Amino acid sequence: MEIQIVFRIAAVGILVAVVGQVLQRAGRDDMAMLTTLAGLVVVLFWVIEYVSQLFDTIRTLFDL
Amino acid sequence: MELFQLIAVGITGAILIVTVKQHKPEIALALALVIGVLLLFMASGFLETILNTLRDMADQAGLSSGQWQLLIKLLVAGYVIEFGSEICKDAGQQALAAKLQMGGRLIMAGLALPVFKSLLTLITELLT
Repeated sequence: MEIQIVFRIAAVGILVAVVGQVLQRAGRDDMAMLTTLAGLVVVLFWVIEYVSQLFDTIRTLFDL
Repeated sequence: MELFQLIAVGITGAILIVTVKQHKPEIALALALVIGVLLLFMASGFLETILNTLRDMADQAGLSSGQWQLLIKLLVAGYVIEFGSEICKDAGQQALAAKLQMGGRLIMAGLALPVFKSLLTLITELLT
């Protein structure tokens, strides 16, 4: 499961970039900006959840 | 073997980060963070055995569990603070990384203060 999250985030990054480009070509810069923000929020959710998982493991491992 | 997996993940991660960085630097930073966490997870398998042997050695040396707990807390605090400040450096925020490290030092000094005080009282008793 571990490597999945890495590829998922990379895929979201590239997808957001492509969608942003397409929207910019279509003249909808505001929509491109919004898709970028949406992608960033999704990625941040995964990252925060993953880092909190790491800190929990550390806490249980070192029984702090 | 665990080592080659670690290296493979590191290199593919670096390549992924570079590709994403051209278009979306902020997502590349998040990707770098996740890959770092993944590498730590992969390496944490050995941590259990290391910790047990260290605890046995500490018990033999006569270290009380409180001191051992404090030692481990300081060790973990050091690495976690370094983890955070390196991420800030990755993002180009040198000042932020320095502030984070300063805060970390203050917290660790606060943790270690009672032990230091007991050491000083011990020394003064020896001298008088």
